[in-house]
Amino acid sequence: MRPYLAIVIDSFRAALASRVLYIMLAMITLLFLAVGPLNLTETLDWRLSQFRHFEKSNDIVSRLIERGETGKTKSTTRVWSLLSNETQDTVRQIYENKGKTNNNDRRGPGGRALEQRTQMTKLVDDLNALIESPDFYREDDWDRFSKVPEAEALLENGFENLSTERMRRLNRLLIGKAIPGLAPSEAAAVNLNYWGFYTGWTFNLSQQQIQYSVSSITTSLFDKFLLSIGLLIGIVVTANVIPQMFDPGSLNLLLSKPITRSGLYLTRFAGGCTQIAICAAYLFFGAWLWLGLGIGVWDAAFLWSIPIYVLVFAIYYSISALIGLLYRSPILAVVATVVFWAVCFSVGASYSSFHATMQNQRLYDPLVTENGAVAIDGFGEVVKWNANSNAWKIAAKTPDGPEKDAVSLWRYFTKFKFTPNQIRPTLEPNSGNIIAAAAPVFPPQPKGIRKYSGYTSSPQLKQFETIGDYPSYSMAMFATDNGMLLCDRDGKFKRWDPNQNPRVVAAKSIGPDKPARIETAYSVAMNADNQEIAIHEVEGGQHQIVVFKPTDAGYIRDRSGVIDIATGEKIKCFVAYANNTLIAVAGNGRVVGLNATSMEPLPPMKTGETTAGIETIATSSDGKWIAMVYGNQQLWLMDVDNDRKLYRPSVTGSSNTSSVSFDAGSRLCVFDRENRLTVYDTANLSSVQQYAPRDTWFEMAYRYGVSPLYTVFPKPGEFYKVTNYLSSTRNTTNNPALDLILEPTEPNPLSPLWSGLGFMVVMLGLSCWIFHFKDF
Amino acid sequence: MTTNGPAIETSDLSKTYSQGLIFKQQHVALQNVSLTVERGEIFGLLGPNGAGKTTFLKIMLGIIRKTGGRASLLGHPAGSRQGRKLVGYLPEHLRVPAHLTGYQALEFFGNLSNVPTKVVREKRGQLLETVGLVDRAKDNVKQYSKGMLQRLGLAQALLHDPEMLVLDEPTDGLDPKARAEMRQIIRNLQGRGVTIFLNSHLLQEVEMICQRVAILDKGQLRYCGPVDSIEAFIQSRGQTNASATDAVSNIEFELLGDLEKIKQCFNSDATITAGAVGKPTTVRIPITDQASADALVDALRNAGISIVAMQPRRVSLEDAFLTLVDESSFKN
Repeated sequence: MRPYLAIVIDSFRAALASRVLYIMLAMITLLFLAVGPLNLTETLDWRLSQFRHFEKSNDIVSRLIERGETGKTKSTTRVWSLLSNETQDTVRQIYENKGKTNNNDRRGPGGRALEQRTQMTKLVDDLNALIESPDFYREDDWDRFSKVPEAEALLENGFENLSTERMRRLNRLLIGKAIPGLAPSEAAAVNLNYWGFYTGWTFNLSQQQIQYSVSSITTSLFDKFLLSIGLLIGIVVTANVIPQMFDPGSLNLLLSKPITRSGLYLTRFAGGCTQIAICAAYLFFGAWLWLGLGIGVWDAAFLWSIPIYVLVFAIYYSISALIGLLYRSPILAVVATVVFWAVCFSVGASYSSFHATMQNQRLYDPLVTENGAVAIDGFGEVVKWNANSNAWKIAAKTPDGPEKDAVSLWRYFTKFKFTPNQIRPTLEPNSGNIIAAAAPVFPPQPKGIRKYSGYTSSPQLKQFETIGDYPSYSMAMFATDNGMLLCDRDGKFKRWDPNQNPRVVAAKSIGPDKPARIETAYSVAMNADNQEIAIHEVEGGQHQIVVFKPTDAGYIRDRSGVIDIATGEKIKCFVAYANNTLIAVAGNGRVVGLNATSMEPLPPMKTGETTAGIETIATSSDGKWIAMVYGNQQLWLMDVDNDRKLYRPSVTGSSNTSSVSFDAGSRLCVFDRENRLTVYDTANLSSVQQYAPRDTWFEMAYRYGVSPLYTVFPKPGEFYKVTNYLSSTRNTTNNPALDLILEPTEPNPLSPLWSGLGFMVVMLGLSCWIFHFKDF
Repeated sequence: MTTNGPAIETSDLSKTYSQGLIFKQQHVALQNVSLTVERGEIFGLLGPNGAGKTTFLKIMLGIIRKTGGRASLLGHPAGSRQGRKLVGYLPEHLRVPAHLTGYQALEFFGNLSNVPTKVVREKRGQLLETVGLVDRAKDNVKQYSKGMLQRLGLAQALLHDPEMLVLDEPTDGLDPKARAEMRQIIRNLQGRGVTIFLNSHLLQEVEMICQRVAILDKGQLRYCGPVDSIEAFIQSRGQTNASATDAVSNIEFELLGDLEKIKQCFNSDATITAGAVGKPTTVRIPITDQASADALVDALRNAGISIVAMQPRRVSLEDAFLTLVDESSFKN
C-alpha cells in the first residue's frame, strides 16, 4: 500500500507546487465571499405585494368604493380615509372604468390591464404605508375582527406592548379584514438579507418549503453549472497527470519499482481525482455551512454532492487518462474528453427525443372485458385493442388540433407530468357497455379545466358513440346498481342512467348533505359491495377519511376516521375501499388503514415509495387486492386478507409500470413498458392474457439501439436525479410534509450513477490492460 | 528474499518489436542472447547505439517483455516484482519530479520501493553524504545540475539496500572528480557484496572498474567474459576467422619517411595513420614471429625510412570493442 500512497501524496505535492490547487481554492473562496453574506431571517409577514395579494384587484377597488367611500363598513372606511387623495382618485377612476369598453381605445385588453396594474401600484404603496403606521389601528373601527384569531392573540397584551414587527402584522391582518379581496397572508415569511441588510425580498414560505426550494435550486446549480464548467476546469487541470508519467526518465524508474502497473496507473488516476476531491470538499462543505448558517437548511444529504461530483469528474477523467496513456498529450486528452462529453450529451438528447415520443404511446387506465380491452392514451383519447392488427387503435378522440404536437414538445422540453383522465373507462354492469371519456391534455383557457367528452360502446366494443360532455369539474365515475355515479370537485354526487334514451350524460344530484371536497380522481373510492363512497378530507389540520352512505334519498355523510400520515400539511391522499378496509396512500408515501365499520385505525403498515408519489390505485372487485403504481413506475400490491401485506410483485415490467387496474374477475391488469397490457391471475400472479402490440421500427430503434446506448453511456446533465434522490428534503421519510403526487419523478434516479460507474470501470479496466501489456 | 543462483542469467533471450496494426513492421532488438552475471561482480554491458543494451536492461527490470528465451534476475523471472524488489536502478536520463526537494525525492522513491518513511529519514543523511549531496538536500531538485541528479539517482537506488544495482550511464554528466568518486562508491558497494550491472558508453570507465563485460551489437552477443581475456578472445577470434596471418601480437611503428614508400613496406593487415608534416606516421600491424619483425625492419631501413619508435601494442577494451563491433572500420 505504501508505494501507492506515495504516488497519491506526490500528486498532491505536484498540484500544490503548480499552484493550480491554490488557484482553485482561491476561486472557491471568492465565491463564498460573494454569496456567503446572503442569508434569510424569519419574520412575520406583513408586506403587501401587488403580485401576490392583488389578484382580485376589481374586488378590492369595489370594496373600497362601495364600503369605504360610502362609509358602510367602518374598517374599510378607516382604510379609505387614510389613503392619499391621489390614490383615492385613482381608485375611483379604476372603479368607474370597470367593465366599460372604449372602442377608440387601441391599447387592447393587455394594454388596459397594464395601465390598471400601474395605477394599483399607488394603492399598494399607500396600504403598505398604513401597515407601517402605528396610528393606523383604532379599536372602534374593527369591532368585527374578533373572527381573526391571530389578531386577537396579538392584542392579548395590549396594542402598546406590541413590537414593531407584530404591530405591522396586526395592521396587515386588519387591512385584510377590511378588504377581503386581498389575498390572505401566511403568518411566517423570510427576508433575504445581504451583509445583514434587507434586500427588499421577502418569501412567504414555510421553513420546509424553503428547504425544498433551496434544495431544488442548489441541485439545479450543481447540475448545470458545476458539472459542466467545473468539470471542464477539473479536466484541464488534471490532464497532465497521466501523460507526465510517461516521460522516459520518470517512467522507467517507476516501472522498475516493485509495484504493479495497474496499481501505478490507478493510483495516478486517483491522485488526479484527489485534487478535485479537495476542491469539491471545500466547495460543498462550505456551501453546506452557508446553507445551514445563512438559510437555515441543514441538509446533510447535500454533502453527497462531494462524492457525486468527484465521481462525475472521475467518469470523464477516465477518458482523459486513457487518451493520455495512448497519446501522452494533455491537449489531446482534454479535446477528446470534451468531444466525448458532447457525444454523451448527444446520446442523451437523442434518448430524450425518443423517450418523449415513446411516452406519447404510454397507455393508462386499462379496462379488460370479455370482449377486449380499452385504455386511455397519452393524449387523453380512448383506445381499444384491435386483435386483427395486433395494435391499440383510437376509439374515441379528443377534439383535433395542434395539441398533440404541443404535448409532444412539452414532454420533450419539460418534465411534463401527464395526469390521466379523471374519468376512467368503466364497465356498466347491467348492459356490459363501457362508459368512457376523452379529454384534451392541456385545459382550454380561460377556465383551465379539462372538458370530458363522454362515449359509450356496445359490449362487443365495436364502436364508441358520443354521449355528450360530462358536467364540469367531474372528478370520478363509478358504476352502481342504479346507473353511473359521478363525483365532482366539490364532493357533490350525481347519478345518470347510461341506458336511457337518448343516451346522454344527464346527471341528477344525489347529495350528500355535507360534501367533502375531492382533490384528485383517486381521493375518492367506492366499495363495490355496499356502494359506499369514501373520500379523503383535511379538516382542521387533520387528515381523515369520510364515508358517504347511500340511502333512498341519496348519499349522506355517515362516518369519518382520522388517519395519521405524519403531517398536518394539505397533502393529497389516494383512497382504496376494499370490503371492510379503508386504505389511504398519502403523497408522502405513508400507507395507513382504517376499519371501515368502526373507523378505528388499523395497525401500522409498511411505507410505500418515499421518493416518488403515487399515481394510480386500484381495488379488486372482490376486495382482496389493492394495487398501486408510483411515479417511479414501481408496482406495489397489497394483500388485504393477508394482514394487508404490502410488497412489490414479481410480474413482468413491475419496475416499468404505467398503470394498473383489476377486471371484473379481480384479475390484475398491468400496463408495462409503454403499451403492453398483461392480465395476471392474482392467485399466483401468472400471466393469463397479454395485449402486446408488435414493435414498429421506431420502437425497435428505441428499445434495441438508443436505449441500450443511453444505458451504458455516462449521462451528463442528469446527475441532479441522483442528488435529488439522495437529498433528505426530497425524501418523505425525513420530510413528511412533502407531497410527491404532483412532483415529476424520475423512474430510475440512480441510473446516471450506475451507468457512470460502469463506464468508468470499463475505461479504467481497458487502460490498465493497455498499460499492462504495453512496452515502454 | 535472497535466492541462490547468478544475479542475471539469460538463455537465448530475444526481443522483437512490432509496429503497426495492419502492416506490421518488425525489428529484432535482441537475438538469442545468453549470458550470466555472477553475484557480487561488477559487470559491464557495452555496445553501440541500437545494439540492444537498453532493451536487455528493460527486459531485466520488467519495463518491456521478452519475446523469446529465458531470463532470470537474482533467481526470479526477469521483470517479476520479487526480482525488482532486490534491484536498485539508476536510469540514464533520470527525471525527478521537479516539485520535490532532495529529501522528498528520497522519501518518494523510497516509499515506492516499500521503504517506510521513517527508515528513509534515518538513512537519507548518510546516503546523501556518500553521494556528496548532503549540502543540497533541502534544495528543490529543479535547481540540481545533471551530475547532482545522477548522484541523487544513485542514492535513491541504494535506499532499500538492493542486492543488485543496475546503473545506466552512471557517470554521464559528472566531472572527472565526481566520476572518480562514483567509481569508488561502486567499488565499495561491490565490497559489500552488491552486484553491479553497468551500462555505459565510456569504455575507459568500464575497463577501469568492471571485472567482466558483455558486448552487444545489432542484438547479438559478441563477447561475454573478463575484461582481461578480451585480447586473447580477439586473437583467438582472428585465428578461427582463418586470417592470413597467425598473429601473436600487434606492433606499432612510428616512422619518418615518404608515405608511399612506407605503404609499400606493409601488407594489407597494417593500419597506417599518416602524421602531420614533420611528424611520424603511425603504423599498426599484427606480427606472427620474430623473423617477420626482423624482415620488416630490414625492409623499412632499405627503403630509407627512419624508425622513430617500435613497440608491441596491447589490445585495449576500446580496440576490442571496435574490432568486434565493426572490423571494417579499422581498415582504410
